[in-house]
Amino acid sequence: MKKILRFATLIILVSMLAACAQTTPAPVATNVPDSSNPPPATEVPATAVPATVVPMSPQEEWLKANQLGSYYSDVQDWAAIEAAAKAEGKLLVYANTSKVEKAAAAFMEMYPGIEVQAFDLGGDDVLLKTLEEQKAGAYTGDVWFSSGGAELVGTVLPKNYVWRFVPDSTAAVTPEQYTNPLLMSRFGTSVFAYNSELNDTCPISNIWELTQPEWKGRFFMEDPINDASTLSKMITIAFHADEVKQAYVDLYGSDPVLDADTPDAGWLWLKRFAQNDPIPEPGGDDVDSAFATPGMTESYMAFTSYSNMSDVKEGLLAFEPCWGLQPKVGVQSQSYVGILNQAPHPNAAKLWVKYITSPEGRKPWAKFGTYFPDSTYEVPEGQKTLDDIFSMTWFIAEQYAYDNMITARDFYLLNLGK
Amino acid sequence: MQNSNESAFPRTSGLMPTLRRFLRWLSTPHVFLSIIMLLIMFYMVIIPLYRMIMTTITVQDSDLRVLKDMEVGDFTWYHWVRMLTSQIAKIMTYEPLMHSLTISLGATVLALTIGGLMAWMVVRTDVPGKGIINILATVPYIMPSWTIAMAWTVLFKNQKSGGTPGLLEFVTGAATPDWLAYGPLPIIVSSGLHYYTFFFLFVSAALLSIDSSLEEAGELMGAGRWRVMRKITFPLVIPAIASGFIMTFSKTMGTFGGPNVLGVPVQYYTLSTMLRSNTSIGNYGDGFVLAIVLIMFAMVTILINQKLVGTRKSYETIGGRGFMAQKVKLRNYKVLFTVVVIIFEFIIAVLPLTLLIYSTLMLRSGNYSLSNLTLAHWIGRGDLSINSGEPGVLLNPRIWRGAWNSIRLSLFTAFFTAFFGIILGYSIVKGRGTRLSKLVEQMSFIPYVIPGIAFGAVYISMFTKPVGPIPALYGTFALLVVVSVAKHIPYSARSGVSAMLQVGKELEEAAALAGASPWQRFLRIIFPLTSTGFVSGFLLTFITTMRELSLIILLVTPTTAVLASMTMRYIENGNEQQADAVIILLIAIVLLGNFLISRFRGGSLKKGLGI
Repeated sequence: MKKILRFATLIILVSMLAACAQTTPAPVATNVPDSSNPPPATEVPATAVPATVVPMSPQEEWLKANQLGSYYSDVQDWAAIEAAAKAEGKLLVYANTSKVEKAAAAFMEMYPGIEVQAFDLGGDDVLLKTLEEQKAGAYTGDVWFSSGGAELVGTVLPKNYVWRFVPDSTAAVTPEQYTNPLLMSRFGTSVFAYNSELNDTCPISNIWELTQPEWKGRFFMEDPINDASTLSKMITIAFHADEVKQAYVDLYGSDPVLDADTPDAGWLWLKRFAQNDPIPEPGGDDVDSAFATPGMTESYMAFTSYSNMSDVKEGLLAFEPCWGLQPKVGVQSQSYVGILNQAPHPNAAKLWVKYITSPEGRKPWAKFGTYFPDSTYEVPEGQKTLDDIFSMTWFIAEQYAYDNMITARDFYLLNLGK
Repeated sequence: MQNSNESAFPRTSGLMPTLRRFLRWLSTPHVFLSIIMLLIMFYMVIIPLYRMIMTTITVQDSDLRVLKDMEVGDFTWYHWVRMLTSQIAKIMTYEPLMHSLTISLGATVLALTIGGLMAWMVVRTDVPGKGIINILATVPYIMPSWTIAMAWTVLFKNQKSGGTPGLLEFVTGAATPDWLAYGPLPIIVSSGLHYYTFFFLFVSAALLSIDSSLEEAGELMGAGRWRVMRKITFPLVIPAIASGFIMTFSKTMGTFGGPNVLGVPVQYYTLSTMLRSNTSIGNYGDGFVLAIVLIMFAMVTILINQKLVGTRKSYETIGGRGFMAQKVKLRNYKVLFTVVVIIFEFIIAVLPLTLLIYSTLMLRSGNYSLSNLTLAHWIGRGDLSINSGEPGVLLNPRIWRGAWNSIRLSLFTAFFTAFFGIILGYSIVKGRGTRLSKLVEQMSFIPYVIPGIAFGAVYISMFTKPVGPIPALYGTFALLVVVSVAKHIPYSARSGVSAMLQVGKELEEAAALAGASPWQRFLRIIFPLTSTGFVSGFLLTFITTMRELSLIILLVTPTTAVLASMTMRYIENGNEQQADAVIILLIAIVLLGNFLISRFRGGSLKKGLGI
């Protein structure tokens, strides 16, 4: 018994050592068939290849095969793509919306033979999963179908983890600016809003009024400390320092006096706003029920989503955006659709992009308060038109938000309720 | 076998005796098992931890915004300096740390009081309705941790967070004070009520294995009941209490749900909410510094625990003598105790559960009228006017697949974890006092305090490529099991230690005299005697894995999605009722599992939990 044990121990120890010694990482698996001849077994790969023939990286091969990146083509051969997609037979979509499953079901009816796994992860986790998969070289997902935001611009795009793809049918109806850096799939609007049951009109006309004592502790928003997207929107307001300054002048009749830690009026507003103790809420739904539940007696204001107006139409909530608020009523943000780098099913992914930007494919999202970049889309009765809403809001400042994310979070936290 | 052994070690004088001594040491069961477990844990725990530490001291992509002239991968103290000494340190590290410690201590004391008392009543008194108490005692723990916090806001919320007033304010007409509505007190109470299950399970298992003749001897000597309790019973369950203390304390340190709901409106931030703040803006360097601070505090707790238990040797309670547990008769207090227990159970288990079930029957949330009742969230066919056309939970094939995945994952995880737990318990207890044992014990505890989301992120990059004999596991079901086992090792290690501490030496010694080898002794005596601990560990892991979310959220794929992740998405999409329906499904599965496991183990779960 003992001898067997000793022997077993020895074997295990040796095999552990052997496992540790194996330091050469296994080659990264790629999904593109390697057409070039493998080097003879006696040669050492890579270094022994003649210098004149520079082998393409797997990524280059993939881009070339799928006409993406520098091989991009504005015109697509859809019959070929569809055939190739059917041969691939599968598709994995990372999304931040549950309605994607409905779209996936409709897609599968239209293209039988392609099994779509539409995965509603939520925006933060789509980002995290993409980053980790790409960093590790585990190319698994095919489509990014999620919100944009600071991190996308700051970390995903510079590393080419997602590629731009605009189907020709979509390009025909979509203004060029909505296809860069990736094709936008839809717009959402965050607005300053008031309780419409207790007020006939918005109780404020200028965002500087939110820094005054009467609104101290009476403003709700999703906690910017814990929600990068809300924080980005606050940074976007600070980014438009000139307009924010003009609003100050319009309200008080004089230039704002800057503090040592506020480089411009935008950051001064953010500071004063934080000092006025806005009440953070754990989630978007909590914000709405905090300020817009029917039957309330106290009047509050909040930063919420325009598309939640559909609940107002059904009588579940009672609020109205502060139309005409100076300098702007809110911030515009967008969702993107793109093909993940070295996706295993690139053709099915292309077909998905084409489908989801078509009138048929976007149906699950075509509700009150949502906008599409497609210029032929007509908004429901009572909803502001795309041009109107764009003139009344700022577009989210993704790069600026990325650059200042941590600074702004610290700044906000230091001034909160002080 | 003989030959290969001989040839592997040619007899050379000098080296041989040392080698032989080494091999003899190595073939002692607890040493051998310790080393195996150390190797497993090294891979599953230390490498992820090492990667976390490296993140805090090297420049990351996202740091280039601040450290402009450095390159990715360069060494830097930037994050540590920033989080510990800069202007932001007080508000980001020290205040949240104080908050976390306050909450954890408070919740632990509360949980100990409730769990300990209930365990004592169920095991050692003739209080009626034990079966139902046992089942209800585990219910709060099965429910997601924020359920009680949500119930609290329904009762006590005030105008600070807007909306309609809570029940108390509605009834009394006076504003609920902030200290009762938000901040430390509500968080302590809701966490304490959630985690008392730890103490209940551990203490009842320990009480069950105490021979009550020890207490009777005390009584014969003339000691009063209170004195017996204080001098005999209490010291004997110290290991179990210590286990429960550690688990509750560090679990509350890392908990996010309660502080998020009850702390955020008054800006009562804790280490875990700050950690989440940093990870949500991609600031892993700072976030992991906070995680390491959390880990260090948890390590201090376990050191204190070792001092406490390690210096007092005699906790063996399963002796070779006859065994008889005498129930304390409550006599006149019986009715009182029963009523108190029933009311208490009602408030923390039945009430939230009823609210949950009721909410799944409401067409629109918040409308309590009878005309609003519907079964659509359970068996609806996907009417577009309800929940954007999501079909009812029972008719949704994804839910069924998720349920099956949850069950598989929990069973696999619970089995491996409980198995490892007994081995760990044996290695730690038999080697108690040696450096090896201490190392194993400390290491087995680390996963407990590594935040789940960080664990998941590190595991993706660890298992995307094959390493040595381990294939690339990313995207497979096996990886979910691996990460869950790694995360839950501390649970069963503690219950393993707790169970093992009570097995008397003389049983093993008797077997040794009769000629049994160490391995036979382990398999034939120790293992059967600790099956209570095994089942307790199994059950606890089974329950936690069922509702674990942050750990596996990054590792699941559509085909491996579990119920907990579906709940989360329903909530985020505002389909509260369907989320509640899934939670009820989850609770039902756990209760059923509980029932079946106890059948399968031929009644030893009954002993383990005193059902």
